[in-house]
Amino acid sequence: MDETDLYEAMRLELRRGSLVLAVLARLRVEQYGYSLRVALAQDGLEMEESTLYPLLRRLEGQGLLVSEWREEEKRRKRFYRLSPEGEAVLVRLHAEWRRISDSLERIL
Amino acid sequence: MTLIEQYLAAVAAQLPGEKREDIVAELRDALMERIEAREAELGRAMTEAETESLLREFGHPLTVAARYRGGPDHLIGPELFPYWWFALKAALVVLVVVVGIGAVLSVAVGQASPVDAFADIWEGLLDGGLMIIGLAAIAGFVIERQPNRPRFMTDWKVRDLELFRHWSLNGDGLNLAMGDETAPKTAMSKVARRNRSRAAEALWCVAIWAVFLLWWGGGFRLGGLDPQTLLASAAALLPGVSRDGAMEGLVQPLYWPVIAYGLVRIGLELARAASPHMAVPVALGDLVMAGASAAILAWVWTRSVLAPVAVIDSPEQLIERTTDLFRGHFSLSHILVLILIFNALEIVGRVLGALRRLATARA
Repeated sequence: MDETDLYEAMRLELRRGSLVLAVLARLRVEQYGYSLRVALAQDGLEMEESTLYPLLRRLEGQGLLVSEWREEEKRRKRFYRLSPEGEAVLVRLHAEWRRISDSLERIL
Repeated sequence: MTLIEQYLAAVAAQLPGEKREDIVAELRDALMERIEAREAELGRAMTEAETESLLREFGHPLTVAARYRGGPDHLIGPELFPYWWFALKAALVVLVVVVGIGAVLSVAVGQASPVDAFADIWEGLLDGGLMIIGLAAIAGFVIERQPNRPRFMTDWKVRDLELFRHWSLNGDGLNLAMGDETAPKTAMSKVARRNRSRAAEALWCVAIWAVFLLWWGGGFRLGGLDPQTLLASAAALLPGVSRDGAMEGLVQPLYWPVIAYGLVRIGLELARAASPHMAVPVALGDLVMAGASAAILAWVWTRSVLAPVAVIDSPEQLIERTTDLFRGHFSLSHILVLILIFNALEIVGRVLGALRRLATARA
């Protein structure tokens, strides 16, 4: 594995956990899949659909999100938002993120 | 059917039934949003080639569907893999040894020429190797999908790690196993072996008996021979014993007693592994098993087809013939006598050990 491949593998590993945090944070406001993806991309966090949609399902299955089908712009869309449990988890994850970030900033 | 519907149908076929419709509806919406956004950028409808390219970007149906599947998406995960890999390598090493011994035996008893035996080695390694890899993969798949990690991953004891020191399955481990003086063994190794937990010893015994019973029952063959033919052929090397005679007068009568003995022994060792400190019942079981071994040995010595060969006329003759053996006067019938004597001594040792444990009530 050359340096570029190694970097890419490590970058993906680094991103994986932070993407969950970003999705939870963005869903404090209700979104459907596509609009969430666009919002994340505008925040600088590009995410493949094939990663995002299953992640939304998994978080919903874990009780962190709630969803409902609604019609918008003549098409049925599935809207997601944080559940009360998801909000509590997000607060804790945010605190942990800050702690890790501060520590890393000191080290780096 | 449009390209999109074709694509979604391929994804749907891989999804679990209860979620299929819901997931496909959401994916359809995501695709349509993306297509509309792209068409808005282009200012025209997308061509078929452009749509196909977009679907390729979206992901292969197998990959997309796999991400919705619950549970692990790998055969054997990174946590289990080191254990699985070690077990597989150990099993393959045992296979090489067993197949090699089988080939040597089949040549020694005159059942195969060296050329045939060499061919049998490759056949045995290929058949056995594929079977072991297949069974290991199934075992790994099942363990990976259990709700809890197995106890050997979470509840291990430092004193049981001696096995891994000897089975490092690399150059150092091999040197150690072969008795290389430069390898770090000696006192520590002995202490560790003495301290090895009774549960670990019992499980080793179960594994060895299970493999033996599988072989004895015809589960696999060594050197192209079934165990009964191999034993009869080996017995037929003795003077005055024919292969058919050995089959009728030794091997066939022993078939079921050996299976019964092995099964009871496995049961006893499992009980020992489950409750290593139940000294008295296990010691009583050992006494019963020693009695059964003694009965089988006595039958072989006095009633089987080997009885006329295994006669000891006098202690003086026994000592003289043993001394002759060391002088190079090779006698198969005398070697048989010595094997039987060593077996008898081993049984006496087991009885004494069980009696000691009964007396002290210590496992």
